[in-house]
Amino acid sequence: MANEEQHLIESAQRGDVDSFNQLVRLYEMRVYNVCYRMLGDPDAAADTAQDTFISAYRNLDRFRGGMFRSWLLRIATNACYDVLRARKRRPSTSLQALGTTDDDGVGFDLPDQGERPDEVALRHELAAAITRGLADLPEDQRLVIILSDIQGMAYEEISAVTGANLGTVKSRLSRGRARLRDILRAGELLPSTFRHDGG
Amino acid sequence: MNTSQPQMYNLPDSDLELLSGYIDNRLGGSEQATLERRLGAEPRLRAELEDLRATTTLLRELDPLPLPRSFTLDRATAPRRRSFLSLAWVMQLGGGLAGLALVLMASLQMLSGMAAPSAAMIVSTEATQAPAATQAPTMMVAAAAPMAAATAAPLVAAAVAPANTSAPMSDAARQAGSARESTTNVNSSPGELGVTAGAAAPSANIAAGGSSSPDTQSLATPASLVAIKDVPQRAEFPAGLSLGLGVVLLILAIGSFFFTRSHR
Repeated sequence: MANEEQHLIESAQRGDVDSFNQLVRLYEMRVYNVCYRMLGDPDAAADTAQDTFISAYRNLDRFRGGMFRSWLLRIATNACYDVLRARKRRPSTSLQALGTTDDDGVGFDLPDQGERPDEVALRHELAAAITRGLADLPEDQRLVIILSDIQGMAYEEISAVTGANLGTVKSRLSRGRARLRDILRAGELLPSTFRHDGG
Repeated sequence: MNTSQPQMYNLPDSDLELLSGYIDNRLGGSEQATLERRLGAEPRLRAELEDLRATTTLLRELDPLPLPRSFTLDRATAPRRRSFLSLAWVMQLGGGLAGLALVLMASLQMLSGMAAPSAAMIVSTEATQAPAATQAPTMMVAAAAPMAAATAAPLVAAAVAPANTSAPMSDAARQAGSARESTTNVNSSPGELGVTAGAAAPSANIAAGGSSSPDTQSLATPASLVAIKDVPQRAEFPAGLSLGLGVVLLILAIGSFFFTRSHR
C-alpha cells in the first residue's frame, strides 16, 4: 500500500491529475471529517476540504517524503485556522451557533439495525453534546482531540501535523479531554460509577 | 432518583497528563506502576480516570460524517502546478536583487561622496575670493606642481584632512609648509593651505594617473581654478533616493515571498 501510494504521488508530481485524484479518494473522508469537527459547519468544511486538495495539488513538489497523510492534514488544519481567524474578524457568526446546526451533524445518521429508539436518541444526544463541547474548546486543544480520539492518530503523527512538540501535544490532549469530560459530566452524559463517592 | 450535582474534582495538570497517558498506554514502566498504586489508594483519582476513559470512548465511537460530494479535481480545471520558475518567484527574486543592488550602489555613492565634496568645496571656496589672492595660489600651484608627482598621496590627504582628520598629516604638513615658504604673499590660513593642496590635488591625481605635464600647466591660471570648480560633477541619481527605492524593493520582495508562502 505504501509503495502504491508512493507511485501515485510521484505520478501526480509529474502532473498526472488522475493519480492525484486517486490520492484524494484515499483521504477525502478523513480530511472532510477533520475540517467538520474543527469548523462545526458542513458547508465550511466542504469548502475547506476542497481548498486543501487544490493547495496540495499545487504544492505537491514541496512534499519531500514521510507520511503523505500528515502532510495533507497539515494543509487542512492550516486552512481551518484561516477560516477560524476570518470568523473572529466577523463576529456575527459565533462558534457556538455553528456548533448547533439544525441536525447537530447527526440528522443523516441512520439508526443501526436492531437499535432501540431510546438508544438512537441517546447516541444523537451524545453526538450533539460532543459537537457543542468541541466548539467550546480552545482551537489547539480541539485539534489534538480530533486527531487523537476521533481520528485515532498517534502522538508522533499529531506532532507532525500540528508542528507542536510531543510534550505540548500531551498537555493539550489531557486538558482538552478534561474540559470535554466536565461538559459531558455537567450534562449527565457520562456513565460514571463514582460520581457520588464521598471520598 | 438522585438529583445531586456531579462533583468536579480539580486535579493538577500533572495528574491529568498521567491519566491521559495511561489511557493511551504511553506511560513508562515505573511511571505506570506508581500511578496504578495511587489508583488503588485514591478513589477520586480512580473516578477521574473512569470519566476520562468514558469521554475518550464516546469520542472514538462518534460516527464519521459522510461526504457531501467528491473532492477530486476536474482535469480540465485543475490548477496549474507551482513550478520552480513561477512568475511570482522570478519577480520576487528579481525585485530583491534589484533592491539589493540599489542599496549597495547608494551606499557606495554616499561613501565616495563624503570624500570628494570636501576637495571640491575647498576649491570653489577659494575661487570666490578676491582676485589678488589668485596670484599667490597661482604661484603656490606652480611651486607645488613639481612636487605633486612625488608627494601625490600626502597632498591629497592634506586637502581632505580638514574634513575628516583621518589622513596622516606629517608628510602633508611638511610639503605644505615648504610650498608656503616658496611663495612670498602667502598667508598661513587654512583656506589657502587648502588651495595649495586642493589645487595640487588634481595635478597630483593626474600625475598619479600617468597624465602628461601639459595638464598641470592648465592648472596654473585663475581660470583653471574656476575650471576645477566647474569640472562638471557627473550628474548622479540622488543617493538617498536610490537607497530609499532599494529598501522599498527589498521590503516588497521579502513581503510578497512570505505572503505567497503563507497562502499556498
